[in-house]
Amino acid sequence: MLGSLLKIFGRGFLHWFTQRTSACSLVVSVVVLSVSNDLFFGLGVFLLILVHFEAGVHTLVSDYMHDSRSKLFMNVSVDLLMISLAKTVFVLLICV
Amino acid sequence: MVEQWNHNSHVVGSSPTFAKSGSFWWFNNCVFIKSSFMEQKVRPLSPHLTVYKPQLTSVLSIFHRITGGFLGLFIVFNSILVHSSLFFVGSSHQYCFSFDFSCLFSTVILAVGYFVVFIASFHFTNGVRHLSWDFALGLEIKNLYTTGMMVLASVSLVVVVTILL
Repeated sequence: MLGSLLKIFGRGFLHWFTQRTSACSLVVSVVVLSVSNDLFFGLGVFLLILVHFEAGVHTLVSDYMHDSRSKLFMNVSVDLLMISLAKTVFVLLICV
Repeated sequence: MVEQWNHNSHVVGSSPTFAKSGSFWWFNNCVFIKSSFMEQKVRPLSPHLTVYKPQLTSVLSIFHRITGGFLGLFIVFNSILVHSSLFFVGSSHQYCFSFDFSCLFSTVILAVGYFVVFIASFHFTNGVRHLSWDFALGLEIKNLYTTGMMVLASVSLVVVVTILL
């Protein structure tokens, strides 16, 4: 059961699942944020946006880039940017 | 060896007569594997934008990807701006420059802001439409066109309200 589940996640299902889950969470979070106007919650929503952005870029790279080296370069660049932005958000969360 | 090559020839899509070349078998095999990988690199991109007649459904779906790409670029650009302002936090010249820049190009910045609002609202509303499709809701042709028009109407409403505010 667990092995078949891991196989499904390894065949591109993870991108699809991450993108849909983050999109559903963003729809709810944006509605809540427009009512609550909380800074901590806003930073959390920004983290969700980052996750959605990463999944979207990985999907675009998989669909439109066929050269393996360019694909690897783009994926690593996006992951590094994500780490950097997530670090900034967590620093802001600590400072605020 | 010949029988094995005949059996596996469909893997690389080559002719089984290659097996008759004796000691050059591995060389020819490698050349064929290499050429098959090179053929994979030049295969056409998906989706074929120029093949089909533009329809509301396809145009909205394509623009959903394009707006997602624009929003991604917007995040990257803004993250660079935030990082640069964090790096020069001790310099008053940087703040003076950004203040002068925002005063000088206020109309351009406002126009870019409205454009980003348009793109974000379109991506948001059309994303909700895509999520409803994932739950198998509204997949009939009539509903597709109705929800597409609703997306366009809601985006127009959001942009007009933002400009009026």
